[in-house]
Amino acid sequence: MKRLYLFLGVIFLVLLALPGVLNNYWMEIFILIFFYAYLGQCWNILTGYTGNISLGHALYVGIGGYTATRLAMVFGLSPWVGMLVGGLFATGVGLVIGFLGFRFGLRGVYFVLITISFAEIGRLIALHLESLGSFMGLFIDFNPGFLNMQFRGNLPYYYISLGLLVFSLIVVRTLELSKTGRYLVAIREDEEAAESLGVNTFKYKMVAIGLSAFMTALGGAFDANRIFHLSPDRVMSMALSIEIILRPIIGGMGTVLGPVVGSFLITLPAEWTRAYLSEVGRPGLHMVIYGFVLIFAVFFFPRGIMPLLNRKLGRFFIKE
Amino acid sequence: MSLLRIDKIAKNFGGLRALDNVSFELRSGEILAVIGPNGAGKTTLFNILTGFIKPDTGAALFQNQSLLGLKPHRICQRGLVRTFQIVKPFLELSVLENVIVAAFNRLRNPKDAAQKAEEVITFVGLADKRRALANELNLPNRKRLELARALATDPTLLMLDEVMAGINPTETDNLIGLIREIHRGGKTILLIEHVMRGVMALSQRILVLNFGKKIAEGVPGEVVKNPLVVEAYLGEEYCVASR
Repeated sequence: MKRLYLFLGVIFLVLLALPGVLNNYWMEIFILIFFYAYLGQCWNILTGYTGNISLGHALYVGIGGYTATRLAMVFGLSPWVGMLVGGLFATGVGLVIGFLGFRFGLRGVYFVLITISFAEIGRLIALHLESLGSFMGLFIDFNPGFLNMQFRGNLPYYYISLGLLVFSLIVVRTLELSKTGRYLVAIREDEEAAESLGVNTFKYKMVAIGLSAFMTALGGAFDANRIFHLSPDRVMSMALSIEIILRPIIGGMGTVLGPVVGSFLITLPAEWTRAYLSEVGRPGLHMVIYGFVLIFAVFFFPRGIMPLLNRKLGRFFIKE
Repeated sequence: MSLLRIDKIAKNFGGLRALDNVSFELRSGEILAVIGPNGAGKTTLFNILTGFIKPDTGAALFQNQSLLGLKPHRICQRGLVRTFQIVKPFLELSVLENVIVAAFNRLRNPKDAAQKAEEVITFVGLADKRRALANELNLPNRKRLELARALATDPTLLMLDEVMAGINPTETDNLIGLIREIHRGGKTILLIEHVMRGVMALSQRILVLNFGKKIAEGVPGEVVKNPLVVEAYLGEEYCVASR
């Protein structure tokens, strides 16, 4: 285990120094890698560890983004505070969704449907509310400064997204070793057995969805202040929900490093595909390709890449 | 002193009367076996006592407090834990991790829970398998794991649902020894069992259910000679023929 921490530490130091040699385009790619790994990690808490599949995580991204942005526009509140408010708001919405689903013991496809429908409701609300800019979305005025979370150039965003990612890794690793984390995994493996061994399955599933929603919303606020634009089709869409789940599924659900490995593997090809297909006038076609990649991945690596890495490298990194 | 008192529990599944006014008492420190043919209502009784289903009528008192209406996890925290007839290991977790989950029932600190889990695993004889994933275990070992998890919750009353079903006689004898030792350690035990070898070796009293009704209760030697019990198990004709 020490070797693994050392290895990750070295990678972290390399990533800290990396912007020195990156041009703007590659900096952007790395931000996307960190950002999607972060969102994937947030989703992983609910789905990878607890086994409740959410296909509506874009909702929390949207809530985080819109809340922080609206608070900044109306009250001049710093996005750093706004992102926490957005996080709390998302937690509230997540708990409502969780309450409705878990109270009646909804599982599998039925829980997926609840998450999709709530995400759609959120998207429609954003689409029709004048104060949220309706279909045009909100455009954020550019006032660079640390307090406004707005910067010239990509460098600060690089470090913030890296910081978010490291934060999520620490949270999930701590969770994994805690009583709560053990309980979440037990719920995923067998809910009845967990319940009969003293696990309050309802409570712990609520904890998982609350935490997952909170952290996802933080990502949404960050994203809004990097792109300077929020629209329902960008931050509350099914497309984003799928984008979020792609990396942890390919990397390995229910593992700390899965979403990160997945993100490093597919963000670049995904970005190229998306950009190329939009350029040649086929926007949206990249979703079809994602679909095939997902089918391929689930077929050949049902548990993602992590088990493979564990078998090949596990002995070197983790000595018992 | 009675640890568990069941009073006129009844449960219908549609038109089927799964339990028909069943009453009995379990004294502290006792081993009671509940036997009966398939479909007699034994597992239904367990499911009611552990909060998985609600009875239509009746009362169940554990340490003089009602169990009815409590969620399963609350019942486990009160000190009443069960194993499942069809074992339910956390398949993707190691033996140790499986038991740690259960140990958290009484302990908050991960280190204490891990230590408790190690002790219990050694006690049930799975020490050399502690790093193995549960899905790599064979059935006898999965039954031991089921037992280990139940023990790690530190129960007052241990309810075992057919732990000896589907394993060979040698393994059965080992399990009998293990359960005796658990009993000697101060646990009260409620057994559901088909394997008569286990029932006779372990139980101090036997309760017989048939079609949801209690048809006999008493010490093992008497109960197995009771004509009603023989009839329930072997059929009426056997009873007539042997007369």
